Amino acid sequence: MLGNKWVVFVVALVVWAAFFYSMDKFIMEYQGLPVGADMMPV
Amino acid sequence: MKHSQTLAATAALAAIAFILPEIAMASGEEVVSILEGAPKPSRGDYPVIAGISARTIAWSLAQMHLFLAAFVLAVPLFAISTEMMGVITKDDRYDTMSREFMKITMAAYSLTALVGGGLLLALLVFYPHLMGYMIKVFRGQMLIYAALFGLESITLYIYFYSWDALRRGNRKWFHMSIGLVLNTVGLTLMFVANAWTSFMMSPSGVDAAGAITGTVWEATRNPLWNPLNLHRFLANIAYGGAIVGGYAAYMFLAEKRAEAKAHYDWMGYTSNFIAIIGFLPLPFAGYWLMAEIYAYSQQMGITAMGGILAWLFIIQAVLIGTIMLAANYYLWSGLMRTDRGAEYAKYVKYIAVVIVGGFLVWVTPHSLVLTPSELQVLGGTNHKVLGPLGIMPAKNTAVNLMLVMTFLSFQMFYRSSRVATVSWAKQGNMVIIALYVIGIANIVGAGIYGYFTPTVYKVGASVPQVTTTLMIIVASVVIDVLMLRGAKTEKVHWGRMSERSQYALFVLPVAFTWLMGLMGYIRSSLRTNWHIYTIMKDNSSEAYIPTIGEAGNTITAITLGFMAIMVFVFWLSRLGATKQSEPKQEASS
Amino acid sequence: MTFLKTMGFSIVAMFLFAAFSNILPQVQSDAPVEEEIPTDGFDMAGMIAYGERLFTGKGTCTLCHNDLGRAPDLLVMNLSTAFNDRLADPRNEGVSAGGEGASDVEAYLRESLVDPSAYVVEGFGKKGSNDTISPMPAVDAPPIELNEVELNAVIAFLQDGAGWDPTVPLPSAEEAVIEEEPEEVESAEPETDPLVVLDNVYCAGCHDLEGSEADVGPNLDDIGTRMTQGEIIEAILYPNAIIADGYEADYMPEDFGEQMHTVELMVLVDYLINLSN
Ligand code: HEC
Ligand code: HEC
Repeated sequence: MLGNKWVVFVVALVVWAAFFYSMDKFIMEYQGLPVGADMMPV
Repeated sequence: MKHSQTLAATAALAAIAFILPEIAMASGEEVVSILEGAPKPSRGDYPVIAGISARTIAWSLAQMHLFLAAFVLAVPLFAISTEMMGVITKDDRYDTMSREFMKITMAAYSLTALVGGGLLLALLVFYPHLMGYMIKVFRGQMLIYAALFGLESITLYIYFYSWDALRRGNRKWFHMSIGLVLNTVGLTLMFVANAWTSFMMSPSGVDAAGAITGTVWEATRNPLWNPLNLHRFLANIAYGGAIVGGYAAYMFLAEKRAEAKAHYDWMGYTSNFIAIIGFLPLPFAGYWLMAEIYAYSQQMGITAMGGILAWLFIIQAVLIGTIMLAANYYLWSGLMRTDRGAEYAKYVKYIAVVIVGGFLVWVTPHSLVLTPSELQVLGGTNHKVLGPLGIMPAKNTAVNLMLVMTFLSFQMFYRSSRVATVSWAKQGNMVIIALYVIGIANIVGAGIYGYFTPTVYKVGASVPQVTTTLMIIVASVVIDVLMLRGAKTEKVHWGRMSERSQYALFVLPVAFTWLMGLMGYIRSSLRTNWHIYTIMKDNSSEAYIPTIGEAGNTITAITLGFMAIMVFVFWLSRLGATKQSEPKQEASS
Repeated sequence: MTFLKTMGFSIVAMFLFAAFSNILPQVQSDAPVEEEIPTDGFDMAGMIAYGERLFTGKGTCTLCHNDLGRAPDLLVMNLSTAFNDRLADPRNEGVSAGGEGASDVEAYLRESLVDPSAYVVEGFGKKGSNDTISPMPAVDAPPIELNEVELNAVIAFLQDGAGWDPTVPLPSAEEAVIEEEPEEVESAEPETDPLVVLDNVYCAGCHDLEGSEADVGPNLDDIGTRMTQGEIIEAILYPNAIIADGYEADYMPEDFGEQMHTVELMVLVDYLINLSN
C-alpha cells in the first residue's frame, strides 16, 4: 500500500503534523506556557 | 596513521598549553584591591588635537580593524574545513582552493595588525583615561593578547608556507594540526577582544563606582560575553565566505580561459555556500544576544528596539533582505549549470514571491518611540494599515519563511545534479514535500497564534518557529543523504553561469560589510553617553548618538575604505603569481 | 573594464544604502548636559511641572511606562486607587508587617524609584522571578541618575497625578544644582513649533504659563499686553538688564540665547505675544 506515493504523502502529512504539534506543545510547556491561551488580539 | 595522530594530539596539546596561562591568569585568586573607582574625566580632559573628531577616528579604525580581523579569522576556519573535505573526498580541487583562500588572507593579515595598532594608538591618544582604566581591569590579559597575536602570526605563516611541503600522506595531518592551532589561537584572540567590548556594555567584576572587586575572569565573563562570542563567530564565517565569494566572482569575470572560469565558478559557489551556512543561524544568535541584553538591562534593550535606534533595525532588515535575495538569486542562476536544472527552475518564481513578501513584512516598521513631529505624521505609534505586519509574530514568521526558502533554493540546486536510484525515491520525495508543507504551516500557525495572544506568548511562540525551521533543514538533509546514496551524479558544468549572477556575489560582501558597520554602530550606541555603561561616563564633546544619516555616511566611507584595501590585497595576492616574461633575446645582427 | 564595472556596481550599492539611511527620520540623541538651573526658587507647582518633564525626559520613564504593557501605564491609570491598593497589599511589608517598607504614598513612591524590587507590581516582575525582581532600574543610580531634588519632583508629579497634594520638601539652596535632561534634538533643523520650543526651554517652571501656576517669575500669559516684542526678547536674552517689580534678580537663567536657535526664539516670542490676544 505504501507503494503509492500519494498514500505516502497523506501519511507523511499526518505524521509530520503530529510531530510538529507535539514539538510545539513540548516547547511551549517547557517555557511554562500552556498551549491554547485565550486568543484575543492585543 | 599512528604517527599522524600523535602529531595531531601534540599540536592540540600545544594549543591548549598556549591558552592555559590565559585561563589560569584569569581564574586565579588574583583579586587586586584597587578600590578606587573608574576615572571621571571632564570635558577638558579629553585631548583635542587639531580639531579632529576623535570619535570618528576611533570609530573608523575600530570598524576597519574589525572588518579585517573578521576576515582573517574566518578564512582559516573554513580553509581548514575545505582542506579536510579534500582529504575526505580525495578531490584535489578542495585543497587547491583552501590554499587560495589562505593566499588572500596572508596579505590582509599584516594590514589587520597595522590597523589594530593604529586603533590602539588612537584610543591611547584620544581616550587615555578610558584606556588606563581598561588596562587596570584587564591587567595581564592585554599582554597575553599581544603574545597570542604573535603566536597567531607564526602559525599563520607556517600554515600557509608549509602548504605544499606538507601536502600529502601523513604530512597532511600534521599540516592540518597546524591549522587547528592557528584557528584555536584565532578564536581565543577574538574571545579576548570580545570580553573588552562586552565589558564596556555590561561591566562585571567591578562595583557600582567601578572599583575592581573581582578577578580578570569575572570581568571577562560578563553577561554579554558569550552571546557576543557566538554572534561574532557566526557572522565572521558568513562574512569571510561573502568576501571570498566576491573575489571569486571578480576572477570569474576577469578570466577568459574556460578552465579557470570553471574553477572560480566553483569557488564562488562554495564560498556562497559557506556564507549561507554561517548566515542561517545568525538571526537566532542575534535573538539570543538581544534577549541577554534585555535580561541584563531592560533599559538598554528598549533603547535598542524601541528608542531612536529602532529605525536602524529597518535598515538592518533592508540589508539582510538584500543579502537573502542576492544569495537566492545566485542559487537559482546556478540551476543552469546542470542539465536537469530546468526541471526545478519552474519553482523559482514561487520561492521568489515568498522571499520578497517576507522581506516586505520585515521592513514594515512597528511602534517606535517617536518624536512629536513624527507622531503627527504617522497619527499614532502604530501605522493604521501596516500596524499588524510590523509586530513581532509577523516578523518572526517572515524571517523563518525566508530562511526555509533559502534552504529550499540550495536543496534544489544540490538535487539538480543527482538522480536518486533508491527504490523508494518517489515516496521519499513525498515525505520531504509533506515536511515542507507541514513545517511552513506550523511556522505560519505559530505566527498567527502569537499575533492573537499576549506578549509572553508572542515571545514564547517564536521558539517553535525557529525550531521548526531548523527541523525542516535537518530532517530534509537526513532524508536527502539517505535517498541520494549511490545516486547517479550528473555533470555539473562549472563555469556555465551568467555574468549577471556574479554581481549577486558582489552584493553579498558589500551588503555584509555595510551591515556589520551598522551593527557596530548600534552596539556602541547602546551604551548611550557611557564609555562603560553605568560606570564611566563619556564626557567628551562627542558623547551624543549621531543621526542615522550621519552614521550611514560614516559607515559608507569606512566600507569604501575597506573595499579599497581589499582590492589592494587581492591585487597583491595576484601580483605574487605574476611572472614577467623573459626578455626576448636581442636579435644580433 | 571588468574592474570598473564591478567596482562601480559595488559603489552604487553602497550609496543606495547610505541614501536609505538618509531618508529615514534623523534624530540625534544628545548626552545630558550638566547645567546649572537654580531650582531653589521652585514652588510646588514648579516642582510638579518639573517632575513631569523629568518623567518624559531625563528619567526616561515613558520608555517603559507607556501603553505597550511593559510597565504600569502611570500616565493613564487611576493612580490614587492603584497606590492605595499597593499600600494595602499584604505583600507590602510596610503596612501589614509593620516592617520598614512603605507606609505612606510618598514612601511607597520613593521606594518604587530607588528600590524597585522591594515591592513588585503583580505580573510585572522579571520573567521567572515570580514578581520578586523588578525590571525597573533604580532611578537614582546610573544610567538614569536622578538626584534628590529630581526624585522629589517626580514624586510630586505622581502624587499630583493621583489628585493629592504633594508632600515632598521643596528644594533648598544647597541642592539647587540639577542636571539638564538629555534632549533629542532634530539635527540642525530649528524647531518651528512654539509648544516644542517651550517644552525644551521650560519657562513654565518659573512663570505662570498656561496654567502651570509657578510664581518665581511674573505671569507670562498676559505678557503681550505688558511688553513689546523687542522688550520680551531682551528680557529673555538679558534677564538681569531690567528686573521686574517685586521679583529678584539672578533667578532667570542667562543662557537662553545659547539654548535656542534664533528662529526658535522668534517663534517663542510670537507665541507669547499671541497668547494674550
Ligand atoms: C526599564 C523600564 C522602566 C523604566 C525606565 C522605569 N520604570 Fe517604573 N516600573 C517598571 C516596571 C516593569 C514596573 C512594575 C514592577 C514594579 O513594581 O517594580 C515599574 C513600577 C513603577 C512604579 C510603581 C507603579 C505602581 O503601579 O505601583 C512607579 C511609581 C514607577 N515605576 C515610576 C517610575 C519612574 C518615575 C520612572 C522614571 C524616573 C520609571 N519608573 C522608570 C519599569 C520601568
Ligand atoms: C529659573 C526660573 C526662570 C525661568 C526658567 C525663566 N524665567 Fe523668566 N523670569 C524669572 C524671574 C525670577 C523673572 C523676574 C526677574 C527678572 O526680570 O529678571 C523673570 C522675568 C521674565 C520676563 C520679564 C517679565 C516682566 O514682566 O518684566 C520675561 C519676558 C521672561 N522672564 C520670559 C521668560 C521666558 C520666555 C522663559 C523661557 C525661555 C523664562 N522666562 C524662563 C525666572 C525664570
